[in-house]
Amino acid sequence: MQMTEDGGGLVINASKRIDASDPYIAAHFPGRTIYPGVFILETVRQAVAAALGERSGAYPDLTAVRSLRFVGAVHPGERLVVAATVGSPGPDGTLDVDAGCRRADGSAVARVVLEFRYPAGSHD
Amino acid sequence: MIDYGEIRAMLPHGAAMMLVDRIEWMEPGRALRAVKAISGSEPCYAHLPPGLPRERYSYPVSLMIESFGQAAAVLWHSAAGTPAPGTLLAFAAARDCRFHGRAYPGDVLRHEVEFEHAVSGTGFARGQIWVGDRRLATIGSVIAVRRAGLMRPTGDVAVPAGT
Repeated sequence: MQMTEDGGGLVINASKRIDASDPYIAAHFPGRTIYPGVFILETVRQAVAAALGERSGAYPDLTAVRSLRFVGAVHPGERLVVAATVGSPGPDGTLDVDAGCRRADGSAVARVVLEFRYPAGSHD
Repeated sequence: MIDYGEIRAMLPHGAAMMLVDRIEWMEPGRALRAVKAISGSEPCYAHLPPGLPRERYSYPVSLMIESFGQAAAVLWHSAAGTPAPGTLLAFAAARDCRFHGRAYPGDVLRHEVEFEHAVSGTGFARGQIWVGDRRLATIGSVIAVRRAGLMRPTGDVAVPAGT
């Protein structure tokens, strides 16, 4: 995973190899495995949480899925590549995240627009 | 009521990915109430060490959405019929889903799902996710497409899974 700052906010680049031995994957679907769409969302969430880090022991919560759209599939053995932009915090601390997900060959898999927030009481 | 065995027969998921335990009430094609009990023995907790702060064991939002989506799939099947072999409902999109609270091992998720409409093989559902009297989530829209040819043997070339 890599992070860079640009004028518009934090840019996160992360990737994950889809592991056929994951017990969830084997069940989605038996004999016909495909990386579940919600796990693409989970991959983005984990990358954002890891990049933003802990505050008082708490990671930022995923508080909203504004939009999520799947346009392609990823299978075990393939790599999912995530490019996410994190905007500046809003007045209530909300962080907007816009992420594009592709396969390693560049073909589009998903676009997700999310909101995150640190739990109340967690500070820098 | 629709019990676990009947739900398993309606959805293609294997046991580890089966995230609806029971349909408590249903008006076919219009609305249902489904439950899913969260257990610390589920695979999502396998890699977490003991003794972390409580929040670290919250049930993943992604699995809450999957669980809600499976309940919505049962509701769609109740009106349109279970898809033919080789066809399944693919999760295509979601909009305006807000998460207000968290669930933990021992909690029972309750999905209140309303089927909005289906247009040329694309279905829309919305609703809320509760634990007891706590509303955890408002689901503005989950969208699925009926798709043939997705169920190919593992290792095949990828096929589109969305719209």
